[in-house]
Amino acid sequence: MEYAQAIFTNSAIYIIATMGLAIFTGYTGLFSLGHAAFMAIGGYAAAILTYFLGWPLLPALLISVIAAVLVSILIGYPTLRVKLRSDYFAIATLGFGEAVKVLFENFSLTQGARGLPGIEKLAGPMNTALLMVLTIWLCRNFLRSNYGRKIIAIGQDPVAAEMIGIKLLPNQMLSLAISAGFAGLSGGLLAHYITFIQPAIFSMDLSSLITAGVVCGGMGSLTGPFVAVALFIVIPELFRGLALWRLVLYGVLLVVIINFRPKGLFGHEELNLDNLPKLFWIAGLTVGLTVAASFYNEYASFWGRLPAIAVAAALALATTFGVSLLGRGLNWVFRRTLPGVGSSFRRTYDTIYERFKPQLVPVKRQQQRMEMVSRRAAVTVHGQPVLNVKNLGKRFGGVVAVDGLDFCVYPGEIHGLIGPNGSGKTTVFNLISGVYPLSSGEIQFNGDLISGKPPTAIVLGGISRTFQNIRLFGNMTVLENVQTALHTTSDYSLTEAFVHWPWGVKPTEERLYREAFTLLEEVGLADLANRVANTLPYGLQRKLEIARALALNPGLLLLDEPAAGMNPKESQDLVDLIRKVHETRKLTIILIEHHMDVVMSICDRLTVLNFGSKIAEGTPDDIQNNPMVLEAYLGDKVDYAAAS
Amino acid sequence: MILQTIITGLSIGGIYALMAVGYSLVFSVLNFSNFAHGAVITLGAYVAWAVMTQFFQVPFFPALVISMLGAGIIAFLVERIAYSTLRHRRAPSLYLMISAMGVAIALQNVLYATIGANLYALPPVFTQDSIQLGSAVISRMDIFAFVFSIIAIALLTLVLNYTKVGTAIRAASHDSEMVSVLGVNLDVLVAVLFLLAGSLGGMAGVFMGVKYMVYPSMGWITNKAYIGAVIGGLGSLPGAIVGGILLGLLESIVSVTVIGNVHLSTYRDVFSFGILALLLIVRPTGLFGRYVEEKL
Amino acid sequence: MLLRVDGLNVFYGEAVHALRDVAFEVREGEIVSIIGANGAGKSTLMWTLIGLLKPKSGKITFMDKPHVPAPHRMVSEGMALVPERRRLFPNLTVRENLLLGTYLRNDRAGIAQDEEYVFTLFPILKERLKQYAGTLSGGQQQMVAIARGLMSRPKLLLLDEPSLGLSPVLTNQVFESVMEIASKGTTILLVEQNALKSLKIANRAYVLEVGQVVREGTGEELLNDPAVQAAYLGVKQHKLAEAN
Repeated sequence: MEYAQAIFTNSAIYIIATMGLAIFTGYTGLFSLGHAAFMAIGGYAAAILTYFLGWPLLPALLISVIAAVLVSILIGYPTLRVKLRSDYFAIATLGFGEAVKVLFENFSLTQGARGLPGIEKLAGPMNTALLMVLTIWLCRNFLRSNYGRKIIAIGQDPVAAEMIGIKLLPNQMLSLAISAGFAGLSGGLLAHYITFIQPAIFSMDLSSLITAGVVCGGMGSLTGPFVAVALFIVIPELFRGLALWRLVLYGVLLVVIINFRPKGLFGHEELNLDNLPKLFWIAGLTVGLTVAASFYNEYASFWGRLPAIAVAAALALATTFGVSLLGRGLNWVFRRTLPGVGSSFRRTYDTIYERFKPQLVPVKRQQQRMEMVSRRAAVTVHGQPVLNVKNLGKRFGGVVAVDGLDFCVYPGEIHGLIGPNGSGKTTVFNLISGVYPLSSGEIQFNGDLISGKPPTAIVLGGISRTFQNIRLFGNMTVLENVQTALHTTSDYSLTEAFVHWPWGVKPTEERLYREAFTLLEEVGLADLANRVANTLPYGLQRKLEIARALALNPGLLLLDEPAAGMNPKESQDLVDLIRKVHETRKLTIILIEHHMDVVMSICDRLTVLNFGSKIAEGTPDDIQNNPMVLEAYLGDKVDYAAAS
Repeated sequence: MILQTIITGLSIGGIYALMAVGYSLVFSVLNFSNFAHGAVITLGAYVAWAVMTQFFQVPFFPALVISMLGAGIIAFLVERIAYSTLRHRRAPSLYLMISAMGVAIALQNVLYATIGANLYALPPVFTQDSIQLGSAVISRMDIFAFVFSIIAIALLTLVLNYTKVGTAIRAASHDSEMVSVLGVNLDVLVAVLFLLAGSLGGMAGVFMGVKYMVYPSMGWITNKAYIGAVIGGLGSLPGAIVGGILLGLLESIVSVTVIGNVHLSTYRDVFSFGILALLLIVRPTGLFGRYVEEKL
Repeated sequence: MLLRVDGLNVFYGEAVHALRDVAFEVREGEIVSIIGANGAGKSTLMWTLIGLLKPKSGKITFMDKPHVPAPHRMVSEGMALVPERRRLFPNLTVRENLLLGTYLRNDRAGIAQDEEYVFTLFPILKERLKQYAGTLSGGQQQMVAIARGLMSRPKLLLLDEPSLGLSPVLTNQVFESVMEIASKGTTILLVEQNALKSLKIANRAYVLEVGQVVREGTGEELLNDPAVQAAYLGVKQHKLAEAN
């Protein structure tokens, strides 16, 4: 029994660290090989406090968390600021891990490499389990909040995330800090459970264990890493004789899973009724193996090896089968009872929520936030151009992509930007939205200079855009894509998000849901709200991208070839949608498009580019009669003469 | 003393360069950091150990060739088993990196589980290793390792610049898809790539084994070589060479430096990673690296 | 029949159906044009033909042999692709770029002969052999790209948007070279946004719309087809409409 308790406590401790890492590596895709260092910091901080100063466990653990978080800011700011490739980030964290180890090895207070024995055994199965449950609950709440959605969005497409105004650095640092905090907690617990710490415990093997757990369990899930790490701890314990092969197993598992099940055990899913049988199957297999192993150890010497193995295998099979049958049974029961239990729970919750609503919902805070957002689009001084581009230039190496371009866009117009492929239209969009730095010239939006500002500032200032190659958050649902883009109107704090404080989170989340739904209705995607975005057909993905851009309540919308890849009917639909959006929102739009029928039917004015320079500007009628334009498109003066 | 430090630095730098070139070659074409390279190098050293002391008492040079071949083949097999599926699926480079890490963990621990954690020495190449040069005592092996590393890298450069396959590899570092469109079988090209990287790694492993010892976690040293490659700019061959040698020199200087009564040699690894961190902050593309703007 | 494509379906991921039941054929010695808007699937078709994309279903026969979705096999069978945006290797010299075009060949004499041939097509390249390809102008880069495609002595040359980003004068030159190459016996499948010019030099042409072939005919027929004019001859049709 004590043995089982030990395995359980160990698993719980590592699961705490893994949950944190799941939020970092699992969602941002950045790979850390140094999280053992955060555990070390937490472990040493807590151990020093209880050992030398006689603090009780909980405050010491709190300090562990704080210490780890502070160090994570120190290490995260310089490395995340420069947008390192994930390889570089991995090696940087590996270096960080080694550096921390070397520092503790030379730290005389804790007896350097020899380690510090005799720490009081303050952590046991009970309080560890409680903290583990708390950890999981906090992580789950966080991921379901506005803050969590931002981090998930960054993991799926950092460029698209920036283009809806999500700043990469603070959000990535936040997710690193969360993972470091839980690693610190886990380290503190570990020190007080095994009552001895030395730097060698916090080696790269430990880092790779929890990283392997996140990857094998499924990046983008909490359930998966939970199960994977539990298995990693439990299974090798069963085969003690094979202890040396344990790490070989991790390695092989990593290779096998990434090659054949790249989404891990649970993919992006959390535990639900559908995958409950799978969980029981895995649990059954583990229990089966446990039973088989202990049976074999007991009886092998009496019965001889072969019969013992045979009986053990039979036992394992039977147990696996039995437990997974239990899972199916439970699934059957839950399917019938859970909806009822759930709704009565929700009713109680709602009653309590409503009871305190008037006192506790911060109405004023919400109003302030909404005003701030609506003010964003409102500024349009009549007559003055919304967008004023002066002498814009961009060079890539020796290639001049945009050269001395001037144009203005006036309030409420749909302005077409046309020109042959390769004439620099998309580059102009990238310059306006701040993706590329300008080589020369300046850009004004509502009279303010925006060139030189970071992309997120430009987006939040009121210019949103879509992409030529659609960039959605592919693994989110249609609704979540839009909800994520509504992040600026959310008003609850990080603490409220972590504890899911009903009177802070619920009204805001309900409002975000309603607004997102309204936007989906506007573009005609309301029926598909719960579909995963990358399973939508092309045409609908474009509409979703437009809805996401509108969620930012822009004053100027940049559409980059929205009709590309659409058939005539779809592109007619799109024209209608753009027209509708334009009229109901009094929105100014710049449109890059190759479908001439689309351009000619909805644009008020056109700017024609060729080789990065403006060759003509005017109404669609003017442009159609402009010989320069015909030449650029058709490449031949003779043809023009012949045709007319 | 200074001369001695420089020679030691050059020799370890040359070994770093051999390993770093392997990282850079693979990175330049496949765009991921092959963290399994360290394990391949370790296995290369073990091959030399096996044929020199365990089985046939093979002399040094044939053993060097055998372990280069062995490491090359191991690298090739690793590619077949752990990367080729992902490559064909066009998986993100993060996946390749994870797979590489899995291979590294597995291979290193296979050594622990089978041969054990013991340290083994390779027989010395020179019976009389040290030579007196004025007041300095210089190791022949150091000079030998440096000269040989340089020769190997020079040969590699010739192959890359003057053969069809080499030209294709250089082209693939820019656009591997286009290389395949011109009729190059990418699977074969990648196999050649891993053979080259692996055999240079095997050579480095043998030198490491002679200079220090052979043990399962000796692959850890390749993290330094990786740092060298990053300093030079991952994917750039001259970068890998310069970065590797530079790091070797800096390390050997740090190792003999004493500030107050603190011997900096204790913090040598911290120092290397510190340089890396500093460089990534100041110039994330490395000294010779190129920066590619993403197309939207 | 040099190339015959039947019921070709190609997907990107699971949701995006890039080519739907595409069928067409190319006969020996022809110039065949495929026109269509951005995103219609023209480049997808090219990448599928050279073997880089695997079709979900459909049948492709090239020189009466079934198609193998592996570029090195298709190149050795006699196909060559000059891709959109040229895709030269900027870190290699012009000569090395051309050399890679001959990767599967070992006949030195033949290679030398073909080198002479591309120099007669594009004399300027002879002066630029030692220059890095990245330092050339757009027009010269397009010449190197076409020359590189010819160096494998293909029976069928796939040209994807050769006029992209070129000035009218250079575009004309490229189209002249294309006609010259065709006159020397190389069959050409041409994908172009410049519908007018490519229809003019084509023996036959197909119109690709959202992954489907919606029209086919001789170049002449399509040039005079009002629907094609409306959709693909861009600004010009409005002019024509007025003129009528």
